[in-house]
Amino acid sequence: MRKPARPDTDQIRSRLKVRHLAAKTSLRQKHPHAQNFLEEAGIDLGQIRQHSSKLLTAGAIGGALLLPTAVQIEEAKVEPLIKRHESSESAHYVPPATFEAETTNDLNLTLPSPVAKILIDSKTIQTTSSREYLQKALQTVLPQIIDRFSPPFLIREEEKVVEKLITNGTKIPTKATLEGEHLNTTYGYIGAEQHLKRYPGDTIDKHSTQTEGMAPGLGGFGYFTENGVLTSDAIEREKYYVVAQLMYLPDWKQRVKYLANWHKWRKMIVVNIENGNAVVGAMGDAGPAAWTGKHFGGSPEVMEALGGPKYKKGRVVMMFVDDPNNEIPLGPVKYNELPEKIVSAI
Amino acid sequence: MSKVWYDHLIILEEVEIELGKLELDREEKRELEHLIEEMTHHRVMDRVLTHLPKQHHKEYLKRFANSPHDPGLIHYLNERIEESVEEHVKDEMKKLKKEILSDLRKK
Repeated sequence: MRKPARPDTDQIRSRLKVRHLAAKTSLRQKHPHAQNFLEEAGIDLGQIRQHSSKLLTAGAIGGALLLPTAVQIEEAKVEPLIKRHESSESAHYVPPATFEAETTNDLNLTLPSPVAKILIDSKTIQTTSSREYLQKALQTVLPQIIDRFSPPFLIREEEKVVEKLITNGTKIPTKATLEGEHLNTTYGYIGAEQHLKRYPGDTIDKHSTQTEGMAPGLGGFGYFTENGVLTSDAIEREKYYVVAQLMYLPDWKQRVKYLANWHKWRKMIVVNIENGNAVVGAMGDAGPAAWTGKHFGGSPEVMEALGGPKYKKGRVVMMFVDDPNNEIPLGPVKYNELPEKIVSAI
Repeated sequence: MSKVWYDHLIILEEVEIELGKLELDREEKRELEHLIEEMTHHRVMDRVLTHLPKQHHKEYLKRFANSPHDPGLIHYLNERIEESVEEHVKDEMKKLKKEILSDLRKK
């Protein structure tokens, strides 16, 4: 059977461009005062999302400065998150939490490895990294998303609580803001992405999974190879790539070169709020568009790590991994490994 | 995160599915998504201003420029527009969706 012909993308683009121009022209002709007002205010209506990001970011920083922070975070007190979202149209009321962070491994034990393993397997002692702990904590602190097109906005103070919980739960240093950079949003929906070409001539059958197929073009950062060589790191990066809405960053246009370079392959942690599964990925592209109702994307392997083979979309937190020495591997977070202190003490 | 007060009214899932069917390369896809994104804002603004009595335009524009995400704008507009502003936006997006789908499907 013959494969249907690829659509003429030039024609599609032209048609949409004409429609786009018509929308702008109509507004200008019918409401010239509005166009003048926005121009004088330095606002490009088409870029209103970036303008809004800028305002929200400024507000979030200002708000965070007014709030007491350290004690709340240390004690993982979650009331501020809940109370602020009580009045929000896009959030359910969640009763004030009595949840306390389960710091299960303050064990200053030095045990031989076989003994430690027996104690953990028999559940006599618990591992520090607990998926259940993180799942419970995040479900408690995060407001519900009633409308996936407008999930609640977490202010810096709230993000600090969340990053602390993720760091405690996974033992992976997690930051909402790293080196002054912050994502457009840290809480929202992730959707499945296709595999990306790692090098010229790459085909889907050369990838470890074939689900979702292969995107016809390149990711925003080009091929994954390093100086033309497909290294094991490059393979891992494509396998566990994630995407975020970099194009809506408030200063994306002005700082595109710097920001693209900064975000390229940046290590990220994604946590599924519903089950606590977490995965460390590498930033591989910009997207998806806001009107899709999704805020992040993940490779087939990322999606499987988060929710199994049929997982296509879900509520997650995505933040930066603070890993200056590149010590944290990409891939699913392993919660049930032996507690660090016990192993290192042997 | 909601960046504009009408984010929850922009439902273009069918457009997303149709774009997916086209097997565009990512750069092309992002470009088309960007055009669609920009169109939504122009169409919503056009529709709102067309139905909002002119004496309120300046104030609305000021409020919108100062905080485009403010859900209070819905209340503000509903007090001044005869029909519900949500219905206006939904209807405008429905029309836009139909037009875009036709652009994407046309041979």
